[in-house]
Amino acid sequence: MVERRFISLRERLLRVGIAPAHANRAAAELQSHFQQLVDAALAIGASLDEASVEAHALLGSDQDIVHRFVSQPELQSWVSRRAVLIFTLFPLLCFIALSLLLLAVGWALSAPLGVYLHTVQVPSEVARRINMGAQLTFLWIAPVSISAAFAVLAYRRRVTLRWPVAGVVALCAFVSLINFDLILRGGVDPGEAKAGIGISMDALSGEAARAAAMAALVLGPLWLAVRRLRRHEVG
Amino acid sequence: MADRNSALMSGVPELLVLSLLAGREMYGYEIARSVKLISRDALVIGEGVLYPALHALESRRLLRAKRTRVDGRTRIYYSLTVRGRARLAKLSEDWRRVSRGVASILGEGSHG
Repeated sequence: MVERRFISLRERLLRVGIAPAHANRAAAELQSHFQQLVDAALAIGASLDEASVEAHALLGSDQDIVHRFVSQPELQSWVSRRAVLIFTLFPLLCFIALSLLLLAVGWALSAPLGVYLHTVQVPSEVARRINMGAQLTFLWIAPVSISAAFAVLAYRRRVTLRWPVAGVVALCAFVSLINFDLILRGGVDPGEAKAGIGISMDALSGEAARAAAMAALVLGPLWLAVRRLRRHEVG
Repeated sequence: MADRNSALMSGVPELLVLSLLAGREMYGYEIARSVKLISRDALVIGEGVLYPALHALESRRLLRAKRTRVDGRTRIYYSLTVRGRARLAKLSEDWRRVSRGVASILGEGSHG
């Protein structure tokens, strides 16, 4: 019962944007403080119930404690201070940064790889599998991993869901418009990498389905985790 | 019980906490008890005020926090940093100046 109060207090502090380090520590300190107040009251002859009631009263209401923490701006987490920016824009920026990094790596590798590819012939089945692997990595694994990382951050910091949801949907919609091919042939014309972005009315339903599938991979588990957390609190 | 809601008390918890920690490191319960005991119940820092204030002072690098486990319970001991000592010196001086000013006015009032 006592522990439940401080677990709930910690949750409330996280929800209002208090940095996890402060929220965790405050809950631990207040619980320890509570126990000492109870011990002090027991030592002067109070019953356990009386001591507990008095200790709760001395600590004050959770609402008051939360209000006091909120009134100290330096205790707010950097994530809660910039939640809109971090959760809506940063996933997209991370994906763009990753794409530029891959482009740079590809550029650096193209010369030595070209020399090698000139000496071999890549069977078409192998080339197809390499292309599929590259597409899977760049167009599925990378955006889903980035979205998932931000979703986990949002869950841990108890950020309002609308910002991470907006960010995940924006990234998945953006990635679904990208086309990417890595074609390796070997020989005289060793291969090429092609990437493009655009909206095609013919492919719109397929792109929307791809975006929805990617978003569902991230938002589904996030929604389940949040629902479990809320049930746990109510219970 | 001391009046916790006075405008005159604004900023006092910070001064009291820094002042107590100048002597030795303490944890939250100890700080609250010490304020009550030393001031002979004239001053009380509510727990709802104490912990946010301690955390804020630590964020401003005026205090250092150290986690310790005692009898199965978590205790966070706070101690003053160099910056905290400088802040204490400034707040003490400010408080003495205000206190002298108020005493002078009260003294003039009683003579008038």
